[in-house]
Amino acid sequence: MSAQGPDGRDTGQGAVVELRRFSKWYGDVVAVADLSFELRPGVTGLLGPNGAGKTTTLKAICGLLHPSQGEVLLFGRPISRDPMLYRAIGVVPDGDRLYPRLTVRSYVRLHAELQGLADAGAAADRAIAEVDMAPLADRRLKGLSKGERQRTKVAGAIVHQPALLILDEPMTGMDPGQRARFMELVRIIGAAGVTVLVSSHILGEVERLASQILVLVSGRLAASGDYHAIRDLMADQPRTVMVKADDARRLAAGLIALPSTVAVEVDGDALRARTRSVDSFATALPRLARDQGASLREVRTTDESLEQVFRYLVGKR
Amino acid sequence: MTELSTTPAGTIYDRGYRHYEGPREGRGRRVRAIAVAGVRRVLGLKRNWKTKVVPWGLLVLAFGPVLAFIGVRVLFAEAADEFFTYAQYLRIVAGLLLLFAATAGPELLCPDRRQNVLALIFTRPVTRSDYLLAKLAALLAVMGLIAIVPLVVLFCGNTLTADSAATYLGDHLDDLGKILIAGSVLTVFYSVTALAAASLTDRRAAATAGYLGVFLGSSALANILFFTAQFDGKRWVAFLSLSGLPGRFVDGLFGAGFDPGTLAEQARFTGPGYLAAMAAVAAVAAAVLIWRVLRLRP
Repeated sequence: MSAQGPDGRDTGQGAVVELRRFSKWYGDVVAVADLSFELRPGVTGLLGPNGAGKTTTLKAICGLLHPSQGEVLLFGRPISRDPMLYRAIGVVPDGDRLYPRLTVRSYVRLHAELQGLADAGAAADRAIAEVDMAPLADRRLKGLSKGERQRTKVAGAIVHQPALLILDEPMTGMDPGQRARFMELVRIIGAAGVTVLVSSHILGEVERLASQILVLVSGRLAASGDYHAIRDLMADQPRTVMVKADDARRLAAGLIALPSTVAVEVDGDALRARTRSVDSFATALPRLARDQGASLREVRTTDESLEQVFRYLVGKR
Repeated sequence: MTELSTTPAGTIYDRGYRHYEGPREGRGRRVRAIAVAGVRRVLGLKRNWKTKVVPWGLLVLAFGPVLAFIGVRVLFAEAADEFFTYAQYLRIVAGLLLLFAATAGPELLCPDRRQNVLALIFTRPVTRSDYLLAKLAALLAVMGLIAIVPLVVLFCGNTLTADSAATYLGDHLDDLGKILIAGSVLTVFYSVTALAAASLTDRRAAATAGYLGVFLGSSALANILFFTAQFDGKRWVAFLSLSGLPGRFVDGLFGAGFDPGTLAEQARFTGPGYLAAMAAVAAVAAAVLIWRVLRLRP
């Protein structure tokens, strides 16, 4: 899928967001160092522990802070020199940034007016419906739950149907049902050709939402791309394989003798082996089972999740 | 450089999400949106009754006497001029404007920072200058309502209830011009200074107290210095009295003369002198306001 310009039209090529050796420091404290990546249409997850530089990176993309070094380009242009680029951007900042006495409708309508939409009322109603807030449209924001306020903020960010959507911890406070519907909405928006960047500390959400991830650790890019591919690149990290067999203990004795096996743990008819080479483990296992007369009932890896990838990347630093 | 592949792997949803391709309005619409929201906020519109008490109370104080005068003239054919001159009424209005500015200025600027909504505003196509212009426009509109409209209503009432409306209009047309000039000057002076004070803190109460403290405190300080200290050129301390400047300008403009024995009377400055002092104060306040708003970091 090719990128779309600020007017929402297909540009044929080019990144929607491009960071070139972006660095930001505050006095002696380096928040982000030498960060380079490109974003194109689709949903990308931005991950990192607290203090990793996620918010600094998002703020730089939104034009809310200037790089100490490097460049941040949106649609090929620095946003600081072209405020009209904001017509193509929807932003949901972190925290509870709302006017508490406004109603949901008046809040979203205000954002439609700030975007200069000709029919602000209709645009607001459409955005409110998209985040399932229509029944609460006339309620004041201060009386809403945190999840409802989050959805209202999202409605304000998508009221002008932007080409780039930046969501900083958007699902904070939402209940499971709201999260599921919200994730579906984000997937729809991403599939429609919008570039969506979602930061979250809840890895399960990002795993379901975005196949592409950016992992920041200590202000630096620790990994980027498809997280399954990243997991495959973690060659020096032992992986866990769970095996169910009718004589797990005898099989364990054979497995521990393999050079690539780091540890084996037996629990009833199941064993959990940690190996440095899944390939050699997979080759050796059937032979060992045959030699020892054991029947294999189930074999699967157990640490392929995004959380494992994230823990590994964070722990490595 | 890292480039993220974006070929969607999985289901393609088509639920009608489309980019907005309709018409877009320009800068005026964005400024108007913020300004209208500001006016609503200042007047407490669509908010609970507590937020309406101060603004509507001051509006009643500004309009009430005018409507009462006109009522008296209609009912008893009395001349309103015998109760209040335009200059006297403007001096009352100046006091109301001070109170209104002290609450409305902070109401316009402080909550945006206090409630952390600047990031929402400045990630829309809104520049710092749009924001500043809109906030100023909101306050000027409401302050103008208090500073100019009651006097214009009084002038119209006097004209329509005079024995000869045409004669009254002919004789007092210059008063209408002075009302508009004085009202505009007072509106700009109080609006700019109040917003400048509000830009220095994100706490409304602190901004209100600070603004009133500086205005009233400067007046007390000027009087103390003038009447107790002995030094050359002490008459210049008349310009230190921020709360006194508008009233003295109004008196000068209408040729009303200063009360005997007061600092204003003894300092012997005229209306244009006080106008220049107000312009200087407003210019400094505007510089502070612009500096603070341009430095706003969400």
